Amino acid sequence: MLSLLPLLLAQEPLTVAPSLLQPVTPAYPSDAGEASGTVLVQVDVDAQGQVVGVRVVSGPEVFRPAAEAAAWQLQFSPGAQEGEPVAVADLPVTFHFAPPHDPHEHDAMLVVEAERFEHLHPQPVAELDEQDLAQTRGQDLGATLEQLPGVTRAAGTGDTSKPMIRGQTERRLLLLVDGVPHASQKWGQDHAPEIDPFAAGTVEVLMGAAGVRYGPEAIGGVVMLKPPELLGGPGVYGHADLALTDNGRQGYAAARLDGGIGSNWAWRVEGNLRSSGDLSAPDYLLGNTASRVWNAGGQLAWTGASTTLRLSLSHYDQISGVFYGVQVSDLGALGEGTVPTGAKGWSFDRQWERPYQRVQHERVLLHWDQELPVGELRTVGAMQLNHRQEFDTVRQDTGSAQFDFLLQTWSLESAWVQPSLSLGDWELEGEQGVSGNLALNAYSGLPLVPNYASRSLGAYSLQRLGNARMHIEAGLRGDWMARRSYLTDQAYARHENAGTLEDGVCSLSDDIATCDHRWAGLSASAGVNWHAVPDTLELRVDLSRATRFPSADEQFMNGVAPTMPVYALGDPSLPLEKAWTLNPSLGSELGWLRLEISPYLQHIQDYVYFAPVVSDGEVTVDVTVRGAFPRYSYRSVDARFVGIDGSLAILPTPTLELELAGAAVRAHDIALDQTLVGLPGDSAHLAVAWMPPLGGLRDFRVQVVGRAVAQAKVDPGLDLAATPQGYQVLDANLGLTLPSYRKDWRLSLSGQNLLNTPTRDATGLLRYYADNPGRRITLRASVDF
Amino acid sequence: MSLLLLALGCVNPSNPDEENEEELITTVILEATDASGGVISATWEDLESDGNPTVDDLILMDGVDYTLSVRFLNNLEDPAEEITTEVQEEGDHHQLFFTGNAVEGAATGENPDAVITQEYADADENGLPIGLENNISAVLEGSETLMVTLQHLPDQDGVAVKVAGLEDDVAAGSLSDLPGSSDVQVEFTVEVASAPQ
Repeated sequence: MLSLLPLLLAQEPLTVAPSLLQPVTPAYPSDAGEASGTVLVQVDVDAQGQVVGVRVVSGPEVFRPAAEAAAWQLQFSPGAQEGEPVAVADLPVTFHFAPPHDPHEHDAMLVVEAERFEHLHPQPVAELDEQDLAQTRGQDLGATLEQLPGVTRAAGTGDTSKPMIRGQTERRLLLLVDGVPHASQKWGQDHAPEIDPFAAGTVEVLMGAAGVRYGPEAIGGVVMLKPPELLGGPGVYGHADLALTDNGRQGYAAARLDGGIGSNWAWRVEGNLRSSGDLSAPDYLLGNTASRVWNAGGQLAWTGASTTLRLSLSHYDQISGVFYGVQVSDLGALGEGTVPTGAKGWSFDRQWERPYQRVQHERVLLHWDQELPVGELRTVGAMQLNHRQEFDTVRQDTGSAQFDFLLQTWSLESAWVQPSLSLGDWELEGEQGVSGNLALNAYSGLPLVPNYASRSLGAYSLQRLGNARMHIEAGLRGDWMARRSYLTDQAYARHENAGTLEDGVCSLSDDIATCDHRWAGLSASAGVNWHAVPDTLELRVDLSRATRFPSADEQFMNGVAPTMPVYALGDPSLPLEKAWTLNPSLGSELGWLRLEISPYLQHIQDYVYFAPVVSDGEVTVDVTVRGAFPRYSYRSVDARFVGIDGSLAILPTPTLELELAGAAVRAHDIALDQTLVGLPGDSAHLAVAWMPPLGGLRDFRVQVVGRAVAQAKVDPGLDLAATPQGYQVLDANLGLTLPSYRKDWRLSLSGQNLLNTPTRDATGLLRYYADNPGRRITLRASVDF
Repeated sequence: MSLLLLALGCVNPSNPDEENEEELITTVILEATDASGGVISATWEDLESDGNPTVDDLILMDGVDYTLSVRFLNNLEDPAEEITTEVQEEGDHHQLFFTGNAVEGAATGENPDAVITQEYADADENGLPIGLENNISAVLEGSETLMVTLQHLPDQDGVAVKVAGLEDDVAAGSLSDLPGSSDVQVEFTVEVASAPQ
């Protein structure tokens, strides 16, 4: 279940940790067959050593009830701080289950773990666990993350979106899939990350810059998708989800099978399919927004005494129509209140027509964790292949794509985690890492982006020093990149005409221009977690500098695509982007109240800003042979982002939860003293949840949510159309677990925008052309087998 | 996993190519033919498709009637590819609209400043105008702007969107009232000079 306060207080290092007085051996579930598995539970222990709270964090469903029941029976000697017994929250406890007849294992085993500082961050961290993810099953990553304060979605014209954190999307938002940065064509406003939320067991969102640990893209935040734990012994277990949504008559089905072979091998196969017809805005159908997405994947892991190897493969396949209404001939017709031309003639169907996009993404990962005599080595190698095709409206009878992109990325990262070193009352931990990346982009089609080959290297060191009250983190990172871009003579001529090429950057031979660029960047960070009032108030502050290299499309984009209905003009001379971030935050917990507030200030020098080109108050329009398109350009500006995220949760009774959360961000071009375009309006939501005990129906929960989004603060005349008005919408959710013979079925019914209010978002591409999809009622069911 | 197999061979970015050039229109030619067979032409060309065209003015004689033909070419091909034929063959999915200060015609309201009048002189298989052939008359001396829009009107959700009266919709509203997308939208200057005495 989503924590009322996603940004939990980190556990405070103690002088004396609670120790287990009486081990409890959970019963091996009768329906677990021959399986082994590990369940991680967090327990809250009071100052008397009694367990007062239990939360299952991860682990196979079949073992969870037994682990939870056993955790409540644990007895501890109290933790202590400066000689005084204290309560301890979120103490990790691991239960390991193995079949009773396995001679190498006990029936069940538990481990109470000490927390390493590496799980503490000086930035706020929000986490979605398996139950949170189940609530949005069937929706894409952007919609999945939207439930967190400070996270909005930058939607395309259909049912896909990019997550946006603190006003930053993919270019400055690192998406880590099982530890590997997602590599794709990020330039299109209608390009959703090719990531399957079903493959994640938890999603952790680090708010704010983390460039030292995670590299150049982690300026706005890091989204970490981690797969569910694999089984640890013989047996086969499964999980299945089904979701049906009225809007778009959407269907979604997913299944996962986990198994083990002997005590060393574990495997997984999983897959899902989502099919949607045309979506509906409150007052009209959104023609050609049908889509189909399917995913398939698998894992194979071998665990030895000191070595773990894990191979993962996944395939993502998406086809989605591009909304007919994007094809606007008159820019004056853009903006709020307009009904898309042709809307009267659109009728519902499940098929997409030109223009549409198809994207396939392959991911092959190999994780190698090796315990060393001194410390631990964590290595992950990856190959990703992203194949994007865009099929434009054509005059001829052809099945081919007009825009075809093939991006292959090889990456390797290795980190040495050093052992803890005691320095009196302080503990020193840390890690050192290196990473390398090779990206090859081959494009064919109408002139748009160049082919390129880029190589990058990075090296970092991050050290953490902590004691009972304070945790200090400091790090340093260096990154280097070389990119060679290959332009056709036609694309080269376009840049020459636009005057964007500096002398000497490119050389032209055999009708191909070769352009070389090299950058080097330095990132640094320092942060503190201070437990000002133990167990009650934590203060954090993080100060960092991060750097980012301009992408090839930011440099050389020159054209129009179905998923980007503007004339985009890159700038080959863009310099390195440098971001300084100050992020203080406060977390407080008083049992019945949880509070998290995180203001931030970010100054980005040479921020690569993609926005309409405005001259004398008018948006510049390029009249190409394909019609008139508003010109967007990539340009370097000094930008300042200021914002605040926060949440307040109140639990007046065990059956009632109230949560108020909100976020606001402002961004300015400092030199021109103008607002930046494309940022979200201030948002807030108030949620009331009631969880009465209802006899045989477990986990009954009914929730009503009111959401309000204010009009985004954008200076007039900077965007193609007036900024959309603010809006208020009402959501509701109802969920319960239905016990039946041998299986528990989890059922939920959720309604978004119940009053079917017309809305447009300042971050969505659709805002120019039509209202967002309207009311959405979803019925979900899931079962473990 | 066919893509995976493809990946076993490395992606080679060093030889960029441009496919689908057949979809590109680089050049629009207006040819005005008078009763004696004399041809006056004006060319709009943007080989880079980047909004930096070279454009000729269309210079007509006041009081003269012409047949106005519109041609579309891809001049990046050698020899140049004639696109006009495709538009003709798919006439039930295309229509040209002539708007701007220079013209009073099917897709405009009354325009007292118009230097030419226009009416369609061709039809598709459904009897609806295409606009590749037109009758125009130079009616007023002056120099004004003519916008030529080739609208691509493929069926949407299996329903024909090229229907009778689209030019009336534009005349009553604007080009944004058209379904489909513009394959071409270019501007010419039309200059009507006084007829020789």
